[in-house]
Amino acid sequence: MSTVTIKNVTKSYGSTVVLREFNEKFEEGEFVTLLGPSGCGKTTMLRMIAGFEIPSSGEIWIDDQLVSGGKTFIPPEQRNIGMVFQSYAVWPHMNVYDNVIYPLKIRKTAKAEIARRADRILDVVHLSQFRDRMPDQLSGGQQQRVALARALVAQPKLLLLDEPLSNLDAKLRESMRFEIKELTKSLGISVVYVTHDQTEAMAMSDRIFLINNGVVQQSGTPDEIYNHPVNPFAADFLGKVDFFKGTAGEGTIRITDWECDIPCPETIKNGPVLVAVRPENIVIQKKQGDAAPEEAPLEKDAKQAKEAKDTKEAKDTKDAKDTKDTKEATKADEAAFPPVSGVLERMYYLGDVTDCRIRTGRALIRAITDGFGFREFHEGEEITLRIRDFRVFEGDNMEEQLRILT
Amino acid sequence: MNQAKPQADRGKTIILIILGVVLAAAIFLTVLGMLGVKSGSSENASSVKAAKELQALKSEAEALYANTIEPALSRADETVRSSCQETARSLLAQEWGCETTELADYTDEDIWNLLSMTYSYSRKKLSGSQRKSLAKISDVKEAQDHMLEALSSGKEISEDPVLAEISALEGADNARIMQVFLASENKDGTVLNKDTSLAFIRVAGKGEEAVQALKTSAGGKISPVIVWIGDHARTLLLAGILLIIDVVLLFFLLRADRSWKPDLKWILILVIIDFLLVFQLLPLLFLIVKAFFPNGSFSLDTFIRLYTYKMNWQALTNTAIASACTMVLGTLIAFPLAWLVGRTNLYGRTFFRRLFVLTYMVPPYVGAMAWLRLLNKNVGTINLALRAVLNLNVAEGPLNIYSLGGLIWVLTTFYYPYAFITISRAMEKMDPSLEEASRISGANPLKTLLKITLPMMTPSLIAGALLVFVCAASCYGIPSIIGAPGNVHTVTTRIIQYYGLGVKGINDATGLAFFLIVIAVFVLYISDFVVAKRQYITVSGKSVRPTLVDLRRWRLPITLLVCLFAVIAVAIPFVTILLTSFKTDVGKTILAAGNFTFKQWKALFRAETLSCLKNSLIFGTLAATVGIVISCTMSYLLQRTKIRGRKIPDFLITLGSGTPSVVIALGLIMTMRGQFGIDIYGTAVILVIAYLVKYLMMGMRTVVSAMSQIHVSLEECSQISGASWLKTMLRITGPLIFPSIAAGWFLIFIPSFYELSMTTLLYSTNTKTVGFQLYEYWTFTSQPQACAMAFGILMIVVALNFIMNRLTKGNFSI
Repeated sequence: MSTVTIKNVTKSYGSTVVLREFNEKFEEGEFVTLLGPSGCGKTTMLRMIAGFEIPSSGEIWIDDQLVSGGKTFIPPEQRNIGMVFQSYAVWPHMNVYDNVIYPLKIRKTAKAEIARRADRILDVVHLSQFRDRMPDQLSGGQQQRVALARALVAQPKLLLLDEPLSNLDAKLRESMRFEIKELTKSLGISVVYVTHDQTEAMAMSDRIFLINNGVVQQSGTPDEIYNHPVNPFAADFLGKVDFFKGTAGEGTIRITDWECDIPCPETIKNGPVLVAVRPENIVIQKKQGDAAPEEAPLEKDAKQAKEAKDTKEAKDTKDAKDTKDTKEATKADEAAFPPVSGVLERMYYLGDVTDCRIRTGRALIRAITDGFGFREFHEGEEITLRIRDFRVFEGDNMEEQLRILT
Repeated sequence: MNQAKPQADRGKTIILIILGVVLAAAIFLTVLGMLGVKSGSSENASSVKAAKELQALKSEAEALYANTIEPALSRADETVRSSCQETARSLLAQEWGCETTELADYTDEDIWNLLSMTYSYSRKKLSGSQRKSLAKISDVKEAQDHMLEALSSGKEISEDPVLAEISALEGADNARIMQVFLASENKDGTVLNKDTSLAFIRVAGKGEEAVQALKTSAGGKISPVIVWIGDHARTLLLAGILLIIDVVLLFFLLRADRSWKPDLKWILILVIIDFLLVFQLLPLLFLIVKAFFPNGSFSLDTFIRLYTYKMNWQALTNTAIASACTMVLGTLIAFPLAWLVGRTNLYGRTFFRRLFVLTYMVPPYVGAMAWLRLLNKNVGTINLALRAVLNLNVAEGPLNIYSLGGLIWVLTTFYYPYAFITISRAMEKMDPSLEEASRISGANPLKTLLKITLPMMTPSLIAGALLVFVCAASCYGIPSIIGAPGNVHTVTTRIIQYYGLGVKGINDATGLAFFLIVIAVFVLYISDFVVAKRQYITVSGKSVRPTLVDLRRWRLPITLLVCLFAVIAVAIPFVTILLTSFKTDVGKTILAAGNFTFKQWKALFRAETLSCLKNSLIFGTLAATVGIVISCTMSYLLQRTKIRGRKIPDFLITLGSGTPSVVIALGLIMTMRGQFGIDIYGTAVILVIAYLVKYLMMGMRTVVSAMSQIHVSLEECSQISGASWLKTMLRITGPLIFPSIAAGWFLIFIPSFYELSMTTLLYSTNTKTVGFQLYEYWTFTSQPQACAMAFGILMIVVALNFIMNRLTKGNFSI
């Protein structure tokens, strides 16, 4: 269990700055995910912690040891870190066992101890029966576990994972997700995990650092980031979201394309705004139907979440220096939100959910209902919809704010 | 659907019928050719034709002999005739530098034979000691054999036109010719005048052939058709076999394609395969057959004779030792360099990389010339410096370039880039996270290098080493300049020597060439089919900036070491060449009074040299252009089709590049002078073909690896969009792999441009190239002149390299 403290780390190659003033502390035993689109600088950060890159400025501390910074630089081999690479980097000229015991052999561990630890770790990653295989005889998932075993065998205090699941197929990815999470939890290691896959980040992390354009956009628990994004980018990157342009004024927001008004949070200044709505937060009903009975408890949850968020808000805004113009909206009171009527244009049945497209005014709204919705509603039917939750961001230069810089 | 199927079936039937007819015709041709060759009517029939011409000559000679020579000889009395005999003895003694009494063991007949031989071979003059040792041998055959060896290191002299004529005759009645010749040499000049004897000599040899020809032929009674068949038996056989192969291949190609539609690509592929079969496989096979069937029947005589000569053994061992040492040294230099340049934070890595790759493009003989100046045992610059520094008071040494060591050194400095490039390429392809995984596992850079990088690189290391071995073993330029003067012969220099010695010499050359072919095939087999299979293919997830190993406090010392190596291996030789090119007297320093001149550089702009330059540019362009078309088609065949045996042309091309230049040239000479209906000897075509055979692989490998990176779906998409195969190639694949095509073009062009070894054997007065001109300057004019030429070539090569980089926008690196 280690802490990683990153102080004002900036990394640039020539004139391109890939990471700007990164300033964070990863706590002991924490599973931290660096999330962001490709090219955002997350892998660079990971490689700086590992010691494969040297920060242009700033300091990196592991526990209370300065590993990079100023004139100090501790090479990777002396940092006592485990790392799993995106390409697994399983050495093709060694068999599974030799691959796994390599870190122990390098550290000149006693033979008996090597055997004992290797047996154990191979058991943990379910590779005991493959110990004599060469890497080219293994599947991607097995190679991935060899890489994991190799990273863990020397019992490092810190484990770095660089998109370890991106080369696996979907099913395997899902199961490995939980295996890695369980394994690291049971070993009590601090983990820094790099991924561009938001589902992976949501499922595994204690804390997510959402990075774009070399800057941390937001950090927090999966719940905080998902439900209280500080800017349109964060809202867009995690989960599904639709943005609608509108104008705030006198306590209400006029959504241009819907031809309707919604209540405006008090903190929002008058002027152009962006309203972000997650499709699962839209409830649709038959035209003459009643409100869905299960809504009440959800409202309560949402309110609790809001309170939790408020306490964190100060911290979050600090993270989002570049997005000063966007202030987070407070959640609107659903009661004040008038139902909107529309026509159900299309439905896509996905089994567990139904993905609907609803025409309201000039806008096409996406709503996700449960699987039963597919039988309940019909295409071309007139329905009413209600928004359970939404966010408002100031300014309507959506393209600018969503731009993913690579 | 129901309509389409019968149509497709009809197409298939038509194609099959056509194929069948062609196949039948081909088989007919083959059988005809085989019969023709077997009955030996080929020789007969061509002899009949030749005999008729020769008969005319013969009767001319007979008339000459009867009307002029015989009366002259009979007019002269016995004393003149015996004085002729005496003259012969004393001439031989004089030639061999011994007393006439020492020749007492020889009969008169022997004397005539030996003298004739001495003259025929004395385009090269013997040294005194060589002659003396010859005189001690009493057996004519042995004397003859040894004369061959001794002569091979002599210098050329041949001003006497009569001697030149004699030396050009093969298999003539030596004794009689010499008799006439010496009669004409008779002091009072009354017996025969020189012109008459010259005329006789010229026809006498041919006359003998005519007599033989008439004896063996059926006296001209054969019908013209059979004569024609016999005349073209080999051509028919070749054409028949080629057609059979084409038809069978086409059948398999079409079956694999299932379309049963004749397409341009199949024809292209067949043309290329035919080209390879005729110009590459045929000469090689012919050489091998010739080595075992020197006179039409199986015999190991050539081998037994060849490999029992001490000198040949010496050449074999020299070649083996030199190649092996070059391989080891070259790899030992190349691997650390490749690692330092590719994986560490060495100062100026890109510069060094460019520099070492550039050396790859420098003609090897340029290096040989430079090192000759530097390490000449008498006046070599380095030797002089060493003597001054070590305060040695000796006239020779301490280092001597004319030695096996010298040969190895020069070979190493010019062939290590081959290993360097092979290893660098593999290192670039290696996923850097494999090394990073080792670092994070706790291994320091050195341990990582030894435990991960080196084992991972082993297959490429072996491949690179083998490449160096083959190149060193088949090199002619360097041994001919460095080895031969110091009597350090290699197989290639011996082959060229034998080649200059007439019919029997060619047989011997073939026997030696066989040795090199065996080495080439063996090594290629190992590197292509054994090592390549063990190549570790690592797929990198994304292109990561590979972490450079920080050399820390070793950074400066190691950079200095690499610098030192670059200075020794690259800078010093080039500077030497440049300085020498301005010297009047090579022995003095450039600063000595009156030793600086532009004369040599001015001489480069003479019409003669410029026409060589023009030739080189034209031949190079032709070879490169044809070569790149073949490369692209071959890449398509290799990368986009699943036809069985598609590796065979690939192997042929690889084999071609592994075959020593001199062997390729020899094979072409022996098959392309009309023996198989193709007579291109002495033309530019034979040179271009030789270059193609030798350098095609470099272009092909480049294009193949580029095409392997273009996903087939890009082409399929174009086809789906309605583009034909040719259009797809020109519009999609071509532009995508353009940098590699350009690079491949240059990789064929550059070595073809400065080629020397094959050109020396295949040139004619109209097809001299810069490489050959350089060789002539070196041998006959002066070293400074040759150096000026070498530096000129060097500048052109560097300029071309620059153009290539610009053209491919730096995307390309070998």
